[in-house]
Amino acid sequence: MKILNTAYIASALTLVVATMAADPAHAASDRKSFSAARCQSLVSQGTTDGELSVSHNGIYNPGTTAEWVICEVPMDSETGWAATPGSSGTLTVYYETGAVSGRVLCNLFVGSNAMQSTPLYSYSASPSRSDPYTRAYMSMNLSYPSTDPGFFVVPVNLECMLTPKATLAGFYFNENLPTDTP
Amino acid sequence: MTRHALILVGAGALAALALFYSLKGGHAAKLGNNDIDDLKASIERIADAQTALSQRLDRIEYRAGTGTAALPPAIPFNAGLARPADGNESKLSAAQRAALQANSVHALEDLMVRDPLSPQWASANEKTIGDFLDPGNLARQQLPVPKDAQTECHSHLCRISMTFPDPQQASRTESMLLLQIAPNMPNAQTVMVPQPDGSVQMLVFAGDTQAFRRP
Repeated sequence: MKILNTAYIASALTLVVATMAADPAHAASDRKSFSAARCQSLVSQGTTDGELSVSHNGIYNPGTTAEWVICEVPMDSETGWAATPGSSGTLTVYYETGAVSGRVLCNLFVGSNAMQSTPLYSYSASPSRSDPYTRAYMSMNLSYPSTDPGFFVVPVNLECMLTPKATLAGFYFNENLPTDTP
Repeated sequence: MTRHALILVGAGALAALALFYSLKGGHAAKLGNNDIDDLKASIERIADAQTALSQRLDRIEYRAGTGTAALPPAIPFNAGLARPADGNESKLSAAQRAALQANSVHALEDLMVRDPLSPQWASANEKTIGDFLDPGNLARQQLPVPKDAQTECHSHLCRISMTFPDPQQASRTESMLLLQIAPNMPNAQTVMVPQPDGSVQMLVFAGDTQAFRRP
C-alpha cells in the first residue's frame, strides 16, 4: 500500500511539475504558420470566388486580371502590439509566380474603423515583379498600441492582390508578446 | 532569478512535500483519504502561488528592462474570464467616442507638426499621391473621385484627407492608395470621421519606417 501511495504522489508531482514547466498560460511569444485556406475572395474589390482556384498549395489566380483576397490573421497576444512597427510582431507572406512574371501585394490592417474610434494601423508591402515560377516572400510589420479607453486587442486582416498566375501559398506569424496559447 | 529558477524552486517544494508524506507514511500503515485530499490541496496551492510569482516576476523584469518578457499584461490575467478584447470603448457614449477620436486625430496632427519639412521628400511623395488621386487613374481603377482631397507631406510623414459618400467607398480607395505608396510609406494610420451630411472624411497618416517610431 505504501508503494502505491508513493507512486500516487510521484505521479501527481510529475504532472504538476510538467504543467508548470509547460506554463501554457503565459507563453513568452507565439509563432505559428497558417494556410491560405483562411482567405476568401474580396468582393468589395470586384473579385468573386469563381475567379480564384483554391487547393492545398494555396490560392491561385488563373485569370488575366489582378484579383483580391482577404485573410483573417489569428492574433493570440493578450495585449496590443507596440506602436513602433515590427517591434512586437511580424507576418511573413509566401507566394509563387506562375507562367508569367508577377507578384503579390498586401495591406495588413490592425483594427477596424467600423469598430473603433482610435486609428486603424496598417502596413503595406509592394514587392517588385518576380520572374515566372519564382518562390518569394515578404515580411510585414505589425503595430497597434493598447489604449484605454479603447480596445486592448483588435481584429487583424490581410488584404492581398494577386497578379495573373500568382499563388498565395501561406503565412508565418510571429507575435513576440505573452500569449495564453502555447 | 529566472522563471526556470522559480519552477525549480516550486518543484523542490513539491519534492519536500512528497518526502514529508513518505516519511509520515513510514509511521502509519497507509495514507487515509483525508491525507490524499490534503496533499492535492497543497499541490494546488503551491501551483497557484508559483503562477502568481511568475506573473509578478514578468512585471518586475519589464519595469527593470531585463528578462525576456517584452511587455507585461495590461490587465491581470484570469483564465476564468474571457480575454479582454472588448476594452472600454464599447462602454463609451457617442460623445465620449467622438472625444476619443478627436484626441487620436490631434495626436496624429501633432506628429505631423513635429515632422520637419524636407522639400525633396515632400514633393516626390505628394506627386505619387497626386498621381494616384488623378481622376483618370481613379477611373481606370474603377474608384470613386473623393471630395476635398488634400495632401501634405513633410520628411517622414504625409497627411491625406479625402471625403467619400460612404465608408465602403473610402475603404476601397484606401486599399489601393496604400499599395500605391507602399514602397516609400509602408506604415499608415487611418481614421474615419463621420460628417453631418452622412459622408465620411478619411484621414490617412502614412509614413516611412521612421514616421511612427517612439523616442
